[in-house]
Amino acid sequence: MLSPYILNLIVLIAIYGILAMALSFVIGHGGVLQFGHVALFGVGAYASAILTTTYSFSFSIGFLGAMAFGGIGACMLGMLIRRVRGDFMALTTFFFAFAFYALVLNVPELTRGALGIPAIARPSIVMSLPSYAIASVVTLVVVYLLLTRILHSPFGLVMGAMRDDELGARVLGKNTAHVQRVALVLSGMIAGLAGALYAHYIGFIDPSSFYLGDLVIIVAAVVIGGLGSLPGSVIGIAIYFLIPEVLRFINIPTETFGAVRQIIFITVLLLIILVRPKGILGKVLLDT
Amino acid sequence: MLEVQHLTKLFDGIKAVDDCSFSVAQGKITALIGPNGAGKTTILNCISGIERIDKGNILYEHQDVSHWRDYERAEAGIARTFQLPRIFKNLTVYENVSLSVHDRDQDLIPSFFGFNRLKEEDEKKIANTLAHVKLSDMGDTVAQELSYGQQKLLSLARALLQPHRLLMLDEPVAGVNPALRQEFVTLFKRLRDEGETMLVVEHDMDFAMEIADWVVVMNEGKVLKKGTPVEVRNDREVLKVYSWK
Repeated sequence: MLSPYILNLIVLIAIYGILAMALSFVIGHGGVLQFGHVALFGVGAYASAILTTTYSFSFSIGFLGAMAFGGIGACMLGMLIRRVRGDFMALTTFFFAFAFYALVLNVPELTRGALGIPAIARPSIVMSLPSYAIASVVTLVVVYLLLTRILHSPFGLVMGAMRDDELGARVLGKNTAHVQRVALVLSGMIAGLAGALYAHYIGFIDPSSFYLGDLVIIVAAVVIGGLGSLPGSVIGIAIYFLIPEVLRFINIPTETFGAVRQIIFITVLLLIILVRPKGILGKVLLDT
Repeated sequence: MLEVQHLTKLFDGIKAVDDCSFSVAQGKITALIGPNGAGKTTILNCISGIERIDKGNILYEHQDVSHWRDYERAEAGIARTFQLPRIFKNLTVYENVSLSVHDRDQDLIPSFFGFNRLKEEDEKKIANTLAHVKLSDMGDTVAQELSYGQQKLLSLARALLQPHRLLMLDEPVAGVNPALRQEFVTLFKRLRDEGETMLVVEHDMDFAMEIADWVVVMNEGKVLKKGTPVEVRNDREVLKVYSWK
């Protein structure tokens, strides 16, 4: 039987792994520079939390609502970036993340603002930690299989073409705006699902849970793991969460683990960019 | 097949194309030639929908496509290549060309459930076209590993496989070796004899004259002369613009 500490690591790696795969799907496979992903994570978390705590809906409705609102958020994001490319697309999605943070902070009637939403219950079927860990891992595997199936299909091929040369894809008759929209909505739904898993696991969410710090971790994990590789994204997340395990062997105060972890993670990111830009398992380099 | 009527295109107030009119006859090769900056590629971009036109009309099979989007014109049968080969560099050669023949590949549900797999006849078409362009053995090669000439051939293969009724080629022999250039001459003449309609933009005047049935000469954004290769080659105004032997 695994210890609660290990199970906790497994749950967090699974949840953030789902989130990172959803991001890798649009950036690494679709070429969409989407840096508002943490907002969609937050949309899902808040949607499920509000539906189950404030409105007392069932957990099924909560999770489905998380996915639906994640998809709606992604759709709105898609409309914002429809006419921009490259750096401007990245900036626009980045500001979307800021906008979400500001919205959540300033609509206390719905989100309780900076106080956050406490007492978010877990579904009884996965009340225990081992069962939540199993559910999270199963969800990770299902998401991985779903995305892999899509990426190996004709739709996935169009995404790859769009990533490599959107204009080239358009003169082949491909409606890249539609493909981008669908990919973003799917990614948003998965990010929303990850948000719901997170909210019901941690039991408390507030705006700071879905802000720049998490955005950097997720994007860095996707880059470290490698663009164009779903397993790579999960490896990138695993590296982030397992760094403290390595630190235990080094004689540094545990209260500094948080800061040291960030430093090491970003150092790994910089090394990857300099030495192996495609990442650990990556297959592509983006031209923006 | 195609009629360009009084086409004008401005970039920051400068007329890149100025009141150009010409037509492309079905089953013929029309060459669009001219010095650098004449507006040839801009015209191609306007026809394919990459650039919006400022004045004029583009009639394709008697339909005014002037305001259609680029992918809509491609779906309607206008295929093209670019001066610098535009390949999907992280995809294999096979994947690059299969995108041309795939139908409904932008629909997620049919893709997910495998309803829009390639048919046997499509696979045969791909195999034949790759054989024509001598890339049969490179199906699994990632496109960015191809040489420049091979990338040109790949982008040509993609355009040929794409369902089309008009094929537009932008400087197809630019930067290729003499042997490949000659292969292109043979290939384009054969395609024309098989009924292809082509609009070819070229800098290589000898190549253009060798393959074309009709020539449109441009200079400084305007049409200078239209005619058969013999008429154009002997025209005084054209000779002033070009120094030919």
